[in-house]
Amino acid sequence: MLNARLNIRDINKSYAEPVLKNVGLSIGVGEVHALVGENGAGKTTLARILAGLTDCDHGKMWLDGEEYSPKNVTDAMSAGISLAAQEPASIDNLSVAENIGLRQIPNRYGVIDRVQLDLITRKALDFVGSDILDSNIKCRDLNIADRQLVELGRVLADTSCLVILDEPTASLTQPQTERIHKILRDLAANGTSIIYISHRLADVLDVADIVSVLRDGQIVLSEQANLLTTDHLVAAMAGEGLKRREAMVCNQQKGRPLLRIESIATENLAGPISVTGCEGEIIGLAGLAGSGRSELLHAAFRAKKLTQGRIVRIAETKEVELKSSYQAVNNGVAFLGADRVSMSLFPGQSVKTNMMLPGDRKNFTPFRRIDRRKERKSTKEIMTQLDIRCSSVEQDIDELSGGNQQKTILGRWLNSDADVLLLNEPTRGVDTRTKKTIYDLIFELRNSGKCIFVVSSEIEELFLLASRILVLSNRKVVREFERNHWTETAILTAAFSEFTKDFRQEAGE
Amino acid sequence: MEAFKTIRCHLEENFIFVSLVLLIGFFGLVADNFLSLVTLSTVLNQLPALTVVTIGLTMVLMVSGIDLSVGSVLGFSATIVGVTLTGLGLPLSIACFAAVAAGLLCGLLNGVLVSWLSLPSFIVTLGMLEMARGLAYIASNSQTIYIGPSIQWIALPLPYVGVSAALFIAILLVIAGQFLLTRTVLGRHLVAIGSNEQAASLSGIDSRPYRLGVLAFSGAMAGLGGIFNAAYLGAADPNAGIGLELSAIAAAVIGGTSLMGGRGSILGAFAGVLIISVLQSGLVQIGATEPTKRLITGAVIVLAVLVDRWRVKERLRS
Repeated sequence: MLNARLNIRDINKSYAEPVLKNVGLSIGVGEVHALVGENGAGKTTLARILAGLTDCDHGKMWLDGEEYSPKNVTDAMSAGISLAAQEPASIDNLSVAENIGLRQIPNRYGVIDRVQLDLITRKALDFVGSDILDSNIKCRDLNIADRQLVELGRVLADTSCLVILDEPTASLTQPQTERIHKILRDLAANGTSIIYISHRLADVLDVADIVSVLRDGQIVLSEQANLLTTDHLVAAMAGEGLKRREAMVCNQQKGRPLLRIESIATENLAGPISVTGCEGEIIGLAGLAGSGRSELLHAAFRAKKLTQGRIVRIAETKEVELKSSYQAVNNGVAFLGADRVSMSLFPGQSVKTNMMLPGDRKNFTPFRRIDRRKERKSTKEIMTQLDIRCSSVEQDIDELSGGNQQKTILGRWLNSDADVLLLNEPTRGVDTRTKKTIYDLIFELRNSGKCIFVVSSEIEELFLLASRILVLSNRKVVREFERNHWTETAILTAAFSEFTKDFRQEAGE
Repeated sequence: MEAFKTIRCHLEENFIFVSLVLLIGFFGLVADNFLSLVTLSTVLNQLPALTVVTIGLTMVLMVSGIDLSVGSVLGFSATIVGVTLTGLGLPLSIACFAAVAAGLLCGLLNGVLVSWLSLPSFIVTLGMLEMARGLAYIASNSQTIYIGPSIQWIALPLPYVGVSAALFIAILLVIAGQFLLTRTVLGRHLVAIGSNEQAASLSGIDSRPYRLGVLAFSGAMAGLGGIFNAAYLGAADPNAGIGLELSAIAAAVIGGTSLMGGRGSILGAFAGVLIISVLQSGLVQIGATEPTKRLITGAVIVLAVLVDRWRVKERLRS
């Protein structure tokens, strides 16, 4: 029996909703412990708590028998815990060497000791088998796989007692992955404990000693890896048989087609993908983070360059090929980005301005005078309808809660003449009450004959909303489910399908 | 109570105008002749050029751009007026047209480089600042061109009206600019681009034509400012407008315009122009020396931004 390196008990964390509920784990010395789970199950939050990036609401942790409560990253690092983040956090304008040595750049009276720095960098890069020759190259010039290796090198070359890797192999090729796995096993043999978070179930079973499954913020399974198969894991993540919200009856008749995606592909989306969206239809796009579901939505809006295919908007009398996102908007296609702050909000402006901005795009005349009375009136109507809480229509949008901001932005499309709505995570970061309001709104828009595409990390949300669901896995559309023909297990299996394939078999074929 | 609240609200909204009135009141009390016709006409006569330039610049600031070339473009346009009137002997209307066209061309060049080649407006207009000044020296052979009464009437009070043509045009432009910014779809789009360009683009607003448009407009306004400057001096001075871009930025900022874009007001910018002019004339009247004058003006600019920041915070807290 291994000694426990890290013990955590009753960890709780809530944002708008509880993310982690009474999580307890024990990680032994020299153990590779994998954490798997659906999107939003709480894996990354747990990693961030351990690395001192976030604090937990309550709960206790012990590291090597001593109580451990990091207040910040420095605390965690000096305790010997380091994290390789999901998104490589490299500083673009610094060189590879400077990034790797950033925490403690060797210097003499503040002047960087180049020779020493290069030595450290070389060691780190060789350690992870990176083929970057020039350590003075700027990080912005690296591709995503190289950045990931730099991040891994930075973390792994340091001597830590616990290393947390969040999706370490997401962008790596199979040989690179194998090399990293070998390093992890060597490190573990020397007593380093490793927490390995990944969607790639084949990778997980390959490298881990113990696998724990998180579902809805709780550990539902903790088992030795050699006793598990990917099927076990998918079943545990899905947790079929638990209470599921009853799907709303929606056998709405499909109307005429509104948007046709014709065999498209992009740099990050293996094509050809074809989908046609019709009047009164909600199309759900499911998949794991990085599966290409957002990419598909962006491509449909022409916010991503297409390598093949075309997007056609079918208006009442004519068909228009969409060539830019401006053209898309002007032809009644609306888009909601996943990141509210950077993609949707106009900070420092009033609720009214934020809601009314896109306005009537079909009859656009720049010098037309705005009817301010009408604008106030329709803002107030939408505010009542969506139960948006603010002191007045003139209140600054920054002063509203996240849920109210989200409703304001969605309210835009009630006021617009858009017929096709592309919504990326429409309920991200809002509370349950607001979610319900947003669902009602989406149904209402559908009933009024709009065609809606919804990308969501929450499968339940898609079950509730969608008329049909397309599942993406590893940048491909792998399956399509009609309403009443899906189960959570089937969708999850499809979502993991391109990640569970054993690459070695593929290579042997 | 309710009425008091409304008044207070209005005072806060129009903080800048309240400060202007207080400033005039202060100088009226301290300096003997401040509230006189002479002072008034001195102040008003200096206004039109700076006002129109500030209107153009504020539009650029709205989309988080900047136009550093306005002072030089004003100088260049002034020499164009001088050359067409005195040198070529053409009528005033053609001279005015040529001056505005020259400004517009400079602005268009700025705009094309900024919007279609995605260069930062700071650098592009810094380049134009040098180039336009160079053109002004070339056009005038580095000499001040005397023009005389044929243009001076623009800057002098018109009979019966009491206001000069230049000031009249400037005030009309303030009203038009304010209307454009607050009441039209175009103004809304400028606000949207300035406060979040990505969100604007995802709402279907292409920022490029707007960026080009505001810089071209700013150039044309500087051209108009060149005419007013030549009229005020009765001569075309190739050195006209040196450092004017900084006064215009100061006026816009005092008037509540944010250099980060998305927030601004033409009316406020006009108040900023008035505050700077009143401050400078007032300080002269109470016998302040040039160095003291500059010291105080500089402090007022920073103070205005501090007060503005504080007001926004207060509002957020309540």
